[in-house]
Amino acid sequence: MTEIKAEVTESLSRLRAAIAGRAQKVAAAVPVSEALVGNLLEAFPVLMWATSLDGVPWYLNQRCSEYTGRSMSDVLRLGWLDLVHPEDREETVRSWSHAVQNGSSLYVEQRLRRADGEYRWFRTRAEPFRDHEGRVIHFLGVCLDIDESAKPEAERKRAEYMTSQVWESTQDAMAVLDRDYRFQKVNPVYASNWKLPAHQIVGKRHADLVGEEFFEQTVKANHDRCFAGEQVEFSRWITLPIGRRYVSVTHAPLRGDSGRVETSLMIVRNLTEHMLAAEALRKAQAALARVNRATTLGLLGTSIAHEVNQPLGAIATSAAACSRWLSAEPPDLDKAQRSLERIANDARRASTVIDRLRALVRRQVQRKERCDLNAAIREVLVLTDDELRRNNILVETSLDADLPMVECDRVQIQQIILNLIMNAVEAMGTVNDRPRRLAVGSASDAKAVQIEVRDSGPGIDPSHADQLFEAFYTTKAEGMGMGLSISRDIVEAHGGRLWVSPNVSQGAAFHFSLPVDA
Amino acid sequence: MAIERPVVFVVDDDQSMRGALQDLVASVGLEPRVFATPQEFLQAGRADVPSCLVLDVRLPGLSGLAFQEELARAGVRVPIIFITGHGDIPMSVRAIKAGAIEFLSKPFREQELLDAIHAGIERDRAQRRVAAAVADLEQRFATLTERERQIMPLVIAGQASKRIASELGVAEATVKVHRAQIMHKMGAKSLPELVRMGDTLAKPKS
Repeated sequence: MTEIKAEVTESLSRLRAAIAGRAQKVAAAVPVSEALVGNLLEAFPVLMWATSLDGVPWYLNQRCSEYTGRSMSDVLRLGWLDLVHPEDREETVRSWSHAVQNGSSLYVEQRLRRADGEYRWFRTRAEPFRDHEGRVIHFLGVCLDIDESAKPEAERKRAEYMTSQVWESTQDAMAVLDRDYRFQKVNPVYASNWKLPAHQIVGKRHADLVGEEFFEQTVKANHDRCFAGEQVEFSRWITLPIGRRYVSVTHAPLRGDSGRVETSLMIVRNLTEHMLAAEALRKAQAALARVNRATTLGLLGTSIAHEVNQPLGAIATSAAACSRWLSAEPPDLDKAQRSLERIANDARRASTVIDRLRALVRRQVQRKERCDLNAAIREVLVLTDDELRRNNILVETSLDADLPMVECDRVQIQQIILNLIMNAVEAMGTVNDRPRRLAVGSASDAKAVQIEVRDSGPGIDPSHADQLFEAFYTTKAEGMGMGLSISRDIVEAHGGRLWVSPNVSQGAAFHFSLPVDA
Repeated sequence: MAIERPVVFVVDDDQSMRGALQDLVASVGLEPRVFATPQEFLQAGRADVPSCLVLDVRLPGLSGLAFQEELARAGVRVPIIFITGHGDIPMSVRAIKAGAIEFLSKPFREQELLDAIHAGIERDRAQRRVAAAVADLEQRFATLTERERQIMPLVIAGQASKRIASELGVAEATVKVHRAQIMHKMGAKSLPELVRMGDTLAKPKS
């Protein structure tokens, strides 16, 4: 470093000597002093500098320091590249490297930061300075403020850059077509949609891609409206050689200098997946209520099979016993008779299960009748019995023996009880460290009857208690979040209400009330 | 020995099924004893007769498989026939591995159940016969003197009296006397028979 500095200092004094010497020769009468050289360097409104080949300056004129707010020692400490606008740094470094490598002139336009933080455009020129053997040893440069004239050009360049960025990086397919419906330009998305390189599309007619028939019937009219000056927009399903798509298309007229529409910009947004998703969602929503009921019944499928299988198994077994009593020597008719009675009873039991099930599956218009809710609860418990056992759940019932009859749609109320019980079963699925208890109870006062279903599951997070009754709110992996919202609707349609509270010891308690004189 | 009428225990919480099974068991001349819960079965006394247990896999409060384990731990060695409304293969494999006679899904053919019941009773009868024989042998073994108990394993191991005598430091004639006493007390007619008795006695009780 010291060596270089010594060399630099020497060069500078040689430079000054040269200037001074030449000036003396040219005009010996004029006294030329170092002061004059100094004045010259400061006389013009330019930033002047000299650097060694590594870019480290060894001279800056006064204006340099004034403009940047950095003294020579600041620049040696901090460097100068950060004074160049970030967008121009790459270009600056490239130009600098090129000049150093080739020993050539440097020319670059860049924005430089003023001491107050504002950037101004400068045109920077630097010339290599050689030693007596012709080796480049320094660069001497000037930066000329061209901000007033450079701005519009820079803005234009930037706009062009932005446009090309949009053109290249957008997710939409874009193409420019001329009045013969030929492609002038297509962006990468457009090309990849048609699985062709862009240069093979350019020059083709639009009809060459989409097919003559489709073009004549559908596309051409839109182009013509656009060439007549109208911005055309539409969204629709279309069937193209590349497949069925839902597209949103814009044809925007592009006018030449004469004001005539010379070309059109076509933007095609592929919304196929959005549309498919939206259609699926619509279908799902339409089916939800029905599906919810079916899901609950589906969960009960094994339970129901069991309920029917029990009496059928008993019937088969009793029939076998009966046949043995009859074929004994002598036949035991009394015993055979009793076997047959059991068979008849079990057959009735099986058909009752099926009747109840049919009533639950069938969707009925609300039909109010006076019902005994205790009986309704017991029937639901019979249907869920197997499900409860399989999950090792102990059932406790406390039914108010004096429960008044209530005017209600029995099947709907049973669906609610079923729903609450199935929720409780699911809630207790993770409970392994304490008994799984389901308590179903009924109670009444003068105005209303109240049914409650309590479980010993993990309970309800109080912050979620309100959301529980919203449609589509669910905490279950396979749930659809319709059960409780439908249940609440049904109860409220009966003039009652449905709510949740923490169970006394552990878990959750769901309650609903129905008015006695509804 | 009186002619013992084998007992078939039934534990099923479904009343219809219980009634039908009771009827079926009675119709083939066996003695049915039916219970709604495992607890009732455990609390009821069991006569000392060949028997088997027809058990519903799913029971209130306790699964049939868990009950099977509990019985094994309690030393109740009654053969078990499982019946189930909806059996699955892993469950049946587990039951059979744990010694169940059969695993039947409802509705089953009654002959399958009856065959399983008979097989269960036969197994229990055999178990009882073995257990009785072992108990008898143990009783006889208990009558041996200390010296005789010391000598019996050596005899079974095939050692000659002379060798045994020198090993124990007694006269060969004395060993021969002990030997005759052992054969007599154990009721063995030959050395091979005594060897078999030794094997039976040495078997760990399962």
